[in-house]
Parts: sequence; structure tokens; C-alpha cells
Amino acid sequence: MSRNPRTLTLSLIFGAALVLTSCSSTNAGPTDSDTAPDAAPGTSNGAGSGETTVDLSAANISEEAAAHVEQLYADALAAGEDTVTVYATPGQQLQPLYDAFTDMFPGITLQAQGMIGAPLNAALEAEAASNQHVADVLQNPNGPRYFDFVEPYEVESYSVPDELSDFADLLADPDHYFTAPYLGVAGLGVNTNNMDPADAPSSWSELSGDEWDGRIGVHDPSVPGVGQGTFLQLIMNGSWDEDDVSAVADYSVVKGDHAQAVQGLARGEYDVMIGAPAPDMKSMVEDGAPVEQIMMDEGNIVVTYKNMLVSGAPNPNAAKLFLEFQNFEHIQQIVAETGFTPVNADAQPNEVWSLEQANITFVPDDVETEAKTAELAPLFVELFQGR
Amino acid sequence: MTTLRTWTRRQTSLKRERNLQISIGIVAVLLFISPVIAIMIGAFRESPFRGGWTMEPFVQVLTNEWTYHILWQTIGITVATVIPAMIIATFFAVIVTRTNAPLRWLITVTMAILVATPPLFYAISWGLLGNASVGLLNEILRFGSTGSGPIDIESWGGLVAVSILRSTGFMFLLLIGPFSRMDRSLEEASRTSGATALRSFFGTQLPVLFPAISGVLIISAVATLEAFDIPMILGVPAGIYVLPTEIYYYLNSQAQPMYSHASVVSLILLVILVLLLYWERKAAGRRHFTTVSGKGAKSGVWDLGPWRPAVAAVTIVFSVIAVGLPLFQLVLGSLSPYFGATGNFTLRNFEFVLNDDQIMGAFAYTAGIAATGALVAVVVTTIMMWVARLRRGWWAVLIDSSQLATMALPGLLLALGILTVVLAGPLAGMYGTSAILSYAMFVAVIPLASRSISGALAQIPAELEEATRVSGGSRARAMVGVVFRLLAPSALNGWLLCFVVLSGTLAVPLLLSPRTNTLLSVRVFDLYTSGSVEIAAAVFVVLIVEILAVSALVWLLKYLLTSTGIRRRPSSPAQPGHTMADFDPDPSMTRVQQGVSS
Repeated sequence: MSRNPRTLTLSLIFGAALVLTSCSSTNAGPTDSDTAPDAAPGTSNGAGSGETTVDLSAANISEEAAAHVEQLYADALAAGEDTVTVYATPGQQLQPLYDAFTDMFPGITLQAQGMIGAPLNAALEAEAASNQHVADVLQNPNGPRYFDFVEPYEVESYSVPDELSDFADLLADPDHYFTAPYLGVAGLGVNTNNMDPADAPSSWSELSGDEWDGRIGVHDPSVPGVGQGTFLQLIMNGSWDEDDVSAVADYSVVKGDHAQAVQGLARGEYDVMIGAPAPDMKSMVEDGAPVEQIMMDEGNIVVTYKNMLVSGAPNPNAAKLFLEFQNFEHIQQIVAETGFTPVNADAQPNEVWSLEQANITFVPDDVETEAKTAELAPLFVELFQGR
Repeated sequence: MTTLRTWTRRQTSLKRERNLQISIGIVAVLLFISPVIAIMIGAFRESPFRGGWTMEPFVQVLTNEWTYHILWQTIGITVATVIPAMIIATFFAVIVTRTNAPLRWLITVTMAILVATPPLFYAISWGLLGNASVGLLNEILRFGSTGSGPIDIESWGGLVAVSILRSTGFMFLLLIGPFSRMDRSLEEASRTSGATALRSFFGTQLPVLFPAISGVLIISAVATLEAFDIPMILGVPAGIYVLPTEIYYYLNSQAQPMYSHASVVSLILLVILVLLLYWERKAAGRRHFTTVSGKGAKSGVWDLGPWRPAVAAVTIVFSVIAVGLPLFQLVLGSLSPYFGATGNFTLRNFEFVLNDDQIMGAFAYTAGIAATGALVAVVVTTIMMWVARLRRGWWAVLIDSSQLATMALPGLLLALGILTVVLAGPLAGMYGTSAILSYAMFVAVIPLASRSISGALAQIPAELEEATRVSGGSRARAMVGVVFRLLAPSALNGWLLCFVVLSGTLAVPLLLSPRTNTLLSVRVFDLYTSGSVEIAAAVFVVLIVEILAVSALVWLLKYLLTSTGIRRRPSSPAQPGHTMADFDPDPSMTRVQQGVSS
């Protein structure tokens, strides 16, 4: 064999390998502290300048809470905490919230990682076992499930709205393990090409009528997820009984994936979707999909997004800062624009997902939900999997 | 003393091969079998992280009638998928390597795209195309009228058909290497004896390819048993549930993930894998399947004559159905304001992708990890398989079989097994680092790399290495100068397949990737679950383009590696250190090299 082609070949292979392996060291993650964001108006750049003054005039919090926030920011910078890692429910809808945090507190970057279910549980267990902690904040609807991995922290800027005072303990844990700065509400999604939203039912029980046969789309309730949570709540809040569930199971087009269920609604595969989350519907409408969100007169689905401080968080001051930050009034207004429902009564949007328009009068109890899941999951499996 | 020294030296030299096998075998157990053992143990523990021992999950799963119902359902889907896919893949492998059919390049490109398209989006694309009421295909077939059908992709037939298409690409890329190394002199001898062309092919060529074919069958069967995305998208709407769905149910139900129940289901997959491997070894027996020799190997192509247009038509039809239609749907989705839109197409999704630092950074990081992991996997498996064939015995079986062990652990369970091993050992402090992720990715694709190499290695006789040794070359020189060079086409194909799989794998990086460096699959998972499916589609279109570019590079490398044999030195007397490969008295050797250029 001639050596020149062989040399060329080997050089080519080596060069390609060099290029590709060098790419593996590329770090373009959001924690790149070399690109500290510009200081937000009214604030000073705390990174390196020694100043930690933050403009909290729009936050509408008490003086004590404001002082606490400023102290947390100073402590975070002094300790070199330049990142907050949040294990959140998957999704991009809250990115404006995360960006606002980075803008308001220069020198600290927020990184959100979508983690739920078994991967989240395994990650938390692994971090605890290896003492290689990554997560600072855990954001998840199933708060009590993760109490072994979080520690109490009393959020000073949080207050329960009067409308939900009956459910105060479900929004702010009495032992300070979690607070829920916003809710996720879900109603009925309607494809406006297939039907007039004015013809949509006003109560969930109407969907068990045979005129809805083949016109309803759902995420498979027999497996854990949005669909199962929706069906559980509709039973728990009294909107459905088992006969209603059985009828809906017969009439529904079942999708194995929540995203698929939402797509099916947008494409007009069915007329309505049960448990269409407001953030998803808002995104679809903005993208031009022929969908509209309808809230029932009562019994709309509510999910509380609990925020918790992870035990052993590598950036505890920055993590606490984020927990406080989400309750600022002007930040709650940003949340409202994403399709989530802020708990702050003064930050309510003029949209169907507001506390008033969604007629939120019931918040599910986590412990009761877990028990109900164990009780009803076999029914869902029987109805939807045919076991 | 001299006698003792001589005896010791003799025993050591005689047992050198066995000692090497023992060393490699121990390494194989530590690397590949330890995660499997961790999950097996986990089947009898309350949690892999804490708690005591219990038989309850084992009993609950194995005494549950539903377990067996979905097991048979899954096996049925697998058999219905793997056998037709193997026939189609073999057909196209023969067309590409053994015939003068037109459009052979189209077959290779089609198969590469098939494998490059992530299974989730392949299934979603077909779901959009073949939906009974609003699917694009049905709207065309109904001439735009409303109604249902005639195609319903969310059905048994749809699920199996899409699975067949997907498996075909996978199998083709594994078979193309061994098929390209076939020596036509075997066929010529058969034809000379009076056999027809078809009889010769089925009677001489296919049997010799048994190791390659059986290896591909096994790996494809297990991959289909573990497939989750296609059954979830196309099967669940039709009430079809499979084993991976059951694993998903166990891992995500109740207050805590039911790891032990999921592990028991994996034990079922492990038993199936062991049975398949046992069958393979029984069927192979002690036969040899070498097709490469030191004599002038003959290759060349069959002249299809009047069948050329028909084969070209079949190629085009297959390409359109397997890739053209779903790729069209995927591209359409990536240009849509929301996934499934039929108008108002826009480039904003691609603008978003190309301008997003996180996504572009993920592309680069993923390419690096995938390339490195694939390279390490191919090199390590080549060395291990070479050591395994030094000497028959249980150590050889262990080395060979251990590389397939991780196939029994689908997705998250494999990641969990690796995590358990890492946390239990001295590497616990390395959790969350790129090193652990690289190890996990390497372990995840070892079965693929193994099957890419094993069939091709079986075709290379040990006599070629012995000839090198006799000529004065060292064992290492024989391995590198003879074996590695002959394996190069299969190794490159294996590297490409591993690269593609690693670029799209989700479960392992979801659990083990460093939080500061996000792999592309994790980023896309976020986009998909948040409803930004059209952006996720745009990411995958860009990924497919990247993979096609890498495939072209691999093709170029294969061409350069094989075409370097065209020019040869004039025959000269044997010199110490030269190998048989330096001497090529048969001009047809050039056609051997040209035959592997596809």
C-alpha cells in the first residue's frame, strides 16, 4: 500500500476525531459566568462592584422582607454563589420568570432543568448519596413526596390570597417546607374550527353524554401524568362519579402522550380536550392554532407548583433569593403572562386562567390525592387498558 | 531449578492467551455486567438506594396475569417486526454490495436517515400522516373529503409496519459490512457445480453469513422488545400496551417509583436475551464462517440485466415510504407555527434554533460525546472480540455475551443500574461529571458496536494472523495490520450507528449528564413536553443534516481506506516483517476493495 494515501487517511481520521472530541469540552450552558448579564434598570451590578442594592419598589413586599432579600443577595455574592439550579417540571413557559431573575440579580444565573418522576427521584437520591449536590430549588406539584430531600425555609415575602385562605396549608406548608407562588389551571380545550366555543359544555358532567362520542381527546389516564391527574381531580372535586368516568372512557380518543393530546386538539382530530392546561393553550393560540380555552363554571383543574429548598443546596443563599423573588408583585405579573395563575390577587391577568375567571374554589390535598391515586388507578387501568 | 524455570515459562506462554482472556473477561464483567447485576439485585430490594430486602415485587409482577398478556403482545409485535425487517434489510444489503442495480446510493442514504430520525419523531410523523380522520395521507386518498380512513396508523397493522421500517434501517447498517466482505469464489464454485444463482446464494452465501445475521436478529429483537416511543404514540390509542409501557407505569406511579417492580420486568427481558444467545450458539455450533482468505478473494457484482429497472423502482418506492413521507411530515412540522398546522409556514423555528446558544452548544457537546463514546465502544469491542476468539471456552463466551448484557435494561433502568454501580464504588464522588456520562454512553452502545464487529470478525480466519506471525510479525502487528484493516468498513459502520444512537438517546443523559452541559436529547425533551413540538422538530431536522454530513465523512473515509489497495507494489521476495497483505498476486484483489466502497 502506498504510504501517502494511508497517511492522508490517518490524518483525516485523526483530524476529525480531534475536532469532534474538542466539541465535547464546549460549555455553552446558561451557567457561563463569563457572560454576566447587564444590570437591570434601577439596580447596580453586584458582581465585583461590592454593591448589592436592588430596586424592590415594584415588589410590593414589607420592609422586613425587602431587607431580608437584600441581605440574601449580598450573602450570595459574598459566598460566590453565581448559579441557581432549579429542578422544575419540564417546559419552557416559565423562561420569562427565570430571565427576570437573572436580570434583577446580576451575578447570579438561573438554570432550570426539567425533571419529574423517576429521573427526578433517582437524581435526588444520587446527589444525597454521593454528596455531589447540584439542585438548589425543587419545583414540583407533589411536594410531600420529596420532603426527604428538602429542608424548611420560611419565605418572608409570601402571603396566601384571601380567595384561597381555606387552603392556606396547601399553598404554604405550616412547617415551611414549601410555598406555591403560582398555580396551573386546566379547563376544556376547544378546537374552534370544529365547533363554536359557545356550544361548549359549562359543566364537566355534560361530557358523559353520548353526543360526545368520538369528540373528546384525553391523555391516557391509566398511566401517571396530566391525564390521570385531571381525572383524579374531577372525581375528588365532585364533578364526576365513576359512571361519568366510564362513559368518558368509552367516548374518548386516548393519546399516549400529553403533547400528542394537545396536538390532536390543534389539528382538529377531536373537538375538545379534557384537562387542557392554560400555559399550553396560551402558547397554541399565540402560534395561530384554532383552539380556545374554556373554563367550566366550577371544578376546573388546579395544580399547585410548590417551590422547595433542597437540602445541601450548593447555593443556599441564591436559592432562598429565588424563593423570595417569585412572590414580588411585578414578578407575579410576569408569571400571569405565561399562562400560569399567580397567587397574588393584585397580579391577576384579565384572562381565563385568573383566579376569578377560572373560579378556583378547590385546591387538591396532596396526601388525599396520593391515597385517591392508589384507589382509582386500577379503575383507570381497567377502563382504558382493558385489563 | 532450570527445569522448573523452563516448565514455568512454558506454562505461562501456553496459558498466555487464557490469561489474557481472563483479564479481559474481568474487565468485561466490571464494565458491562455490573449494572445488570445491580438491577437484578434491585428486583429484590425495596429501593436501589435504601431499604431492605423483599420478595413482594418479584411475586406481584410474576403472578400478575397482565404481565404475561403484555409479554405475549410484545413478543408478537417483535416477531412480526423483526422477521420481515430482516428479509428487507438482507435484500437491500445484497442489492448494494452484490449487484449493479441503479440507485444503490439511495438505499444507503435512506437507511442512514431512517436510523438518524429519532424514534419518537418518526412515530409522531407517521401518526400525523396516517391518522384515520385528519392524517395527510388519508386526506389525499379521500380527495380532501371528510371521513375516516382508509389508512389507520394507530392500529396493530400501523404499529407493526412502522416498526418494520425503522428496524430495517438499523439492520441494514449492521449487515452492510459483513455482506461487503463476501468472497464470490464460493458462489462461483457452486455455480460451476451446476447450482442456479439463487440456490448458490441461499446455499453458500447466506449460511456463511450466519453469525452476522443471527447477531443482528438478536440485537434487533431485543431492541424491539424494549421499544417505547412507537408503541406509545401508535399503540396506546389502539389499546396496545407493551412491556416498556409497563416499566414506565411502575417507575412513575405511586408516591415513590416502583424500581423493584420495573427491575423484575427487566429480568424477563434478560431471560429472553439469554435464550436468544443460547439458541444462536447452538445453531452456530463449531462451524467456521470465514470468508476472507489470504488467497485472491473475488468480489464483483451480479449483472441484474433486465431486472435493473424493477429493482430501481422497488428502491424508490421503499425510500419514499420509509423516509420520504415521514421526513416530509417532519420538515413540514418544523416549518409550522404549531405542529400539525397546514398553512402559514415559517422559518422562525429554525431561526430560533440557530440563534439559541443553549441549543447550538448542546449540538456541539452532544457531537463530541457521541463521537468519543462511539469510538471508544468500537475500539474496545474490537479488542475484546479479538481476545475472545483467541481460545474457545467459557471465558470467550463470557467476553462475547457480556457485551450484550446491557441490552436487557431499557432506557432509564440502564441509567439506574450504572448509577447504582457508581454510587456503590469509589467513583461516587464523580457523579454528575462528564466522565460518568461518557462511561454510561459507552456502555449503552456496546451491544451495537459488538454486533457490528462480531459478524465481520467471524469472517476473518485466524490463519491470516498466523501467516503474519510466521512471517515475523508480532501479535499486535497481526491484529492491527491484518484484522483491524479488514474490519475497517464494519468498524466505520458500527461507529456511525453508535454515533447516531448516542446523539439521540435520552434516558441515560437525563439522569447522568452534568447539569452544566446539556445534551441535545434532554433539551429537545424539554421543548417537546412543553408543547414546543415544532421547535423540537426543527432541532431534529438540523440533527439529521448533521448526521448525513457525518455519514458522508464516514463514506469518504471508507473509500479512502479501501481504495488505497488499488495501487500495489510489484511482487518481491518475502522480507521479514512483511505480512501476506503486502503481496497480492491476484489482480482481482482490486475488486475486493471496490466492492466495499458503498
